[in-house]
Parts: sequence; C-alpha cells; structure tokens
Amino acid sequence: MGIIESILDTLSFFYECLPTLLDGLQITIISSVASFFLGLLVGSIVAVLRVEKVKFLSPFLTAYVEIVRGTPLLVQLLFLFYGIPIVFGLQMPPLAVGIFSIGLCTGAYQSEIIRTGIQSISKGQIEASQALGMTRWKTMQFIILPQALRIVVPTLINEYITVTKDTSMLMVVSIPELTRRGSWIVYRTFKPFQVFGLVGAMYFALAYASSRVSKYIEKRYQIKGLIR
Amino acid sequence: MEDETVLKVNGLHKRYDSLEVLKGISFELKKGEKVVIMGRSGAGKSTLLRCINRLIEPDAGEIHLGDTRVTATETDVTKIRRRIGMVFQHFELFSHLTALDNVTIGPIKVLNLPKEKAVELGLKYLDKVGMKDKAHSFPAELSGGEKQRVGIARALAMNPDLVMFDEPTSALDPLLVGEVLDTMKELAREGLTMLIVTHEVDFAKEVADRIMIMNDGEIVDEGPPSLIFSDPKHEFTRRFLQRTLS
Repeated sequence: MGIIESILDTLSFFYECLPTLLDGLQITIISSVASFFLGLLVGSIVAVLRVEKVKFLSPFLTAYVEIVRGTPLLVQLLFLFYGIPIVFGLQMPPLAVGIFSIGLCTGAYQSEIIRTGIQSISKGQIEASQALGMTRWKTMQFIILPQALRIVVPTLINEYITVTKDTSMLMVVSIPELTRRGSWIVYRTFKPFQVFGLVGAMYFALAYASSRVSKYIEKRYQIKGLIR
Repeated sequence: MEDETVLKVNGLHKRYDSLEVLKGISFELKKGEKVVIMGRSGAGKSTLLRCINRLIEPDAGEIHLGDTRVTATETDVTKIRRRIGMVFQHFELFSHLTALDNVTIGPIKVLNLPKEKAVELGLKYLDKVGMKDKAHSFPAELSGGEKQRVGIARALAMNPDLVMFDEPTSALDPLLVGEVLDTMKELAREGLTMLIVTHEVDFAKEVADRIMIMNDGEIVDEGPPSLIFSDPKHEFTRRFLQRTLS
C-alpha cells in the first residue's frame, strides 16, 4: 500500500470517528466550562472571605484549600461519585457529580490565584478608597477586584486549560466525554495510535484557542500605561 | 459663622505596643483655617491625620467633626470619612480608572450622585487643578505632579468640610513640587479648610494661619508663622527650623 492510500485510509477512518468524538468533545466542553465557572464562583468567594479574615470560617476555608491541593483529583472524583449516594442517599446524574467535583477542585486553586491578585493591590489605594468613605465591600467591588481580576486573567485561563484536560478523568465514572469515547472506538477498531492522536489533537485545539482568548482579553482589558 | 469650629481634637493618644506615637494631642481647626503641621519623620504626623478619619483607631481622646463625635463607637466611620478629604504622599490614585473616574467614583459610589452630575462635578474640579485636558488619561500616563493634582481634585469632589494633606509634595521631583503647591495656595485663597503636613517652609510661611511643630507624639510649639519662624519658643523648634531651612 502506498503512502497516499494509507493517508487517505487514515483520513476516512478519522471521518468515521468524528461523529462519536464530536459528541464527546461537546461533553468535554460543557463540563469544563461549567466546572470552571463553578470554580470561579467558589474561588472568588473563598478568596474574599480569606482575605477579609472572617474568623469563624477561616479554619474551614483553609482546610478546604489544603485538602483539595493535597489529594489527587481522581481520588476526589471517585470519593464524591461513590460517596454522595451512600452518605446522602442522593442519586445525582453522573455529569452533575463530575462537574461538582472538578468545580470544587479548581475552586480551591482559583481561590489561591485570586487571593494573590487581591493581595497585590497596594495598601495605599485601599486606604484612599476608605478615606473617600467607601465601605470594605465597596472597596472590594470597585477598587480591589477590578484590578485583581485583570492581573489574574492569564493565570485563570491557564487554570481553565488545566480543567479542560482534567475532564478526561470523568471517563472513570462512565461519563461519555472525549477520552472515553476515544477508548470505545479503540476497543472496536484496535487503532489506539490514530484514535488517541486525534483525541489529543482535539484537546490541543481547545487549549490553544483558550490561550489565544487569554491573550485577547489581556490586551483588551490592559490598563493604559501600566506596566506590571 | 466665621468662628465655626470644623475639627476639635482633644487628648488624642495612640500606642503601638511599647511605642507611644501620640501622647495627648489637642487642637482645634476653625472653618477656613489653614494649619500646617511640621516635624521630623516619626513624630506622629501621619498617624495623627489617620486617627482623625479613623483609618487608624486612636486609643484614647476625643475627636469632633462639627457636631459629630468621630470617636464614638456608634458613629458610622464611612459617613465621617466622606466629609474629610485626604491627599496622600504617594497619590494613591486608583490605577484602573481614568483621572476623571478617579474623581467621580466617590461622588457616584459614596454620595450616590447621578453619573452625569458627578461627571460635571469631576470636570469642574479637574479644571480647577488644571487637569481637565487629561481627564481621560490613566494614572500611569501622568507625571507625579499631575497625579497629585488629580488626587487633590478627588478629595475636593466630595465637597468635604476639610482636606488633610499628608506630605503631598514629598514624593515629587523637585521640578514638580511647584505646580502642586500653587494648586494648594489657590485652594487656600478660596477659603478651603486645610490641615497640612509638609516640610515646605516657604509654603507654610505663605499659607498657614497657624503652624504646629510636632516631636515625639506631642505638639511642642504652636503659633502663627511669623511667631514660629522668628521667635520659636521651644528649643526643638529652633533646631528643627535651622536644619530645615539650611
């Protein structure tokens, strides 16, 4: 078989795989976007509460961040997936549990990213805002967060890329996302090289697009004249 | 009404662990009065200003702003602060906001003025400090003197009862000091009540109704500039002025 034929053969094989993989890609995108934004919500709240040193909460928040950082995501995922139904007697759709698990995990990382951003805003600006008569919350809302979030956008999008790749672990709890669908095809066709090559290319395309978006946002929201 | 007392400070104390920063400061500020506080660094000047609007909590003593007891625990500090303008040594403009937005954010978010009204007000005060042309520039695009003038406009836009200046020219290039002092002189002429910490002797001589010399947390000498500069009562004042003037 000539090279041309073998390329055409592979391409037509890819074409056959596409519908299945694209369905998986859709789940990958949905679960990564949903868990990222869940994480952003959780992370922002945790970061603000930790910076504001809310006394009775802070040991719990510290524990949350440390536990998430100190255990593998795969273990967290399995723990929640099998744990929630047993402990709470609650039957949740697997995808919801998956999004919840990854969301909680990335939330801990995002809280640390946002906290660093918040703490990089100068004490002087905070004082100036309070001297105008702003409450702590208004200072957070109008002075600290708008600057802190700009600073952390590249790091957050990096975290989003990590989340996208982490959703591949959802295959172990039988969610038919991209990687799992890839392995289905492999079981049927015994072509792991081609299939996982294609799957990898799809993840790469997502990651690359995200990093382009990051560059754009960075430019778009850059504070004029300010070099950090 | 000329003798209306704007600010009354009585027996103000502040201590950090073993260090007593303010050892019973008392003074009054009448409407339209300009009081300059001088003294070497570490004398407690900045701490005094920050205790007045409770950016730092004083340990003891009374502060009254008009009829309001600033030091009362039930007093809403944010309501006090909006009535006391503050200008900082390092400007402390909000770096994500344009000059105009720096000036209008207080009126909009604290005084709840409608946006158009605040913009009108903001442009008026930027014009007053000679910064209307740069209303849409960001702080990072401005020189030190320009930043400080925006800082002054930001304080004025709240229409405060008095404005406190914490060494407003100490962080500036010598060449840029003049423009900021000129702005402040103009405000003084217009009758703004001002409490100014500065090392600028000539400015103090020209503008101050009264000068207070601080040393080690106490006011050691106090009086009109003519008296302070020609016949300092206190030994410390004499030495301080000698060093500052030379």
